[in-house]
Amino acid sequence: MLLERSTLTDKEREEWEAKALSYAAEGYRVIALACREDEGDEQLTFLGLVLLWDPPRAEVPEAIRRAQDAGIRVVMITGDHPATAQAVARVIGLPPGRAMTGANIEKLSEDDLRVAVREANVFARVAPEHKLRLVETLKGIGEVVAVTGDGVNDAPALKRADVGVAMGQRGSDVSREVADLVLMDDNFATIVAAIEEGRSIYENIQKFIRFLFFRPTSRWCCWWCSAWACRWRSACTTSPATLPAAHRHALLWINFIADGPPALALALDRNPGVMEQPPRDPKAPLLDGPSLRFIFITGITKAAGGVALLTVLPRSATAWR
Amino acid sequence: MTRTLVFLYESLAQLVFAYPSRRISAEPMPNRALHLAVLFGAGLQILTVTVPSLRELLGLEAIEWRAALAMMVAVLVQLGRGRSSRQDGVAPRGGARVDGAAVPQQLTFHERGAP
Repeated sequence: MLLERSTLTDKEREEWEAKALSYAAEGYRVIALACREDEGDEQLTFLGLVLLWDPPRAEVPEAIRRAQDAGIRVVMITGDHPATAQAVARVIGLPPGRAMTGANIEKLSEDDLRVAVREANVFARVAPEHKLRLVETLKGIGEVVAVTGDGVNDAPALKRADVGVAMGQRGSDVSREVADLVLMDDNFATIVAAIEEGRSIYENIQKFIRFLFFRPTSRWCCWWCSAWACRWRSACTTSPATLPAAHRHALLWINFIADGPPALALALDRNPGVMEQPPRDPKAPLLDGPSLRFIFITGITKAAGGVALLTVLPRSATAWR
Repeated sequence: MTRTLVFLYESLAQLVFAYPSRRISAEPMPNRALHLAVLFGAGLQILTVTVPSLRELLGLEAIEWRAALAMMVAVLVQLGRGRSSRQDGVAPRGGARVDGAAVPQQLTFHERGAP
């Protein structure tokens, strides 16, 4: 735009435009400088190009790779030139895909945008209203959307996202205020680490529930089978059978010693596999199908062992004595 | 004696089932705290039948070695079953989806110039 207002000839302008584009394709932010003696913004004397290099942090490519392994799609939205954005996307390892600009987003209908956002990973020359529209479109197709941002203009998108992540150091007060999470180190890798921690905690809660829930199942099965067996035996024989009652201290002992310490220790489990799993359905219950299957199968198996002991031991004990 | 052995079986089987409870998505890393908790629990279980005052408190009695062996076999069978049947309650694994039709994806919008 500045070149068009300069006093350069058409040929010179084309040359400088090509240069600017090639620098942008290398990942530089390119700023053109021009001046004029008196007031006005036409007929400017072109001074040259300034290149700004804002390299991504070294840990970002690895963090993006881990996020992709975890089924998380990372999308870059920037106000930069599309060529700069695509170059940076290449450096950080975003999958090559269609790059869209804010102007493209404006032209597309809602249905077309829904298709486009599935394909594009880079959005360049984007204004705040485009960000908001992108977030709403992605939420509309059932995605769980997290948005990072630091500026005041990011606030609407941060607020509208499922998880708004603001920058603690460089972020504006407004963005920090509306965000759900504030990154104290402004590091993208921290988001991925937080996702891993969250998934690990969720899995440990599931383990804890499984461990504590299968015992009542086992006890109930054991008690029911034994009571039924005693009743059957009493009906069939003249000598009535009775269940050996557990001492109340023994029951408390099992609760405190066999349940408590292992259940607490399960909270310390590290789960390296959680970042190789796709994201869970947000509507999935904590006690899901596989957990219920575990509780019932394990409970019944343990009860079978108890019933077997109850059946075998009285006769064997007599013989052993 | 039946009551004592069932008590021991209940406690020890409960302790060893902490291990299969851990298998949800993948084999977790070794957990020293869990090993210690299980060993601590198992050690206390032995004390319940060897220390007379504890035996009296819990309403237990001294056991025959053959009975203890039968109980241990029952616990080991449970442990073996728990270790071998890895598929009980293991969540199905799958690759990440790109279209997000069934399982919603998490999307992170990374603004250039931020982190």
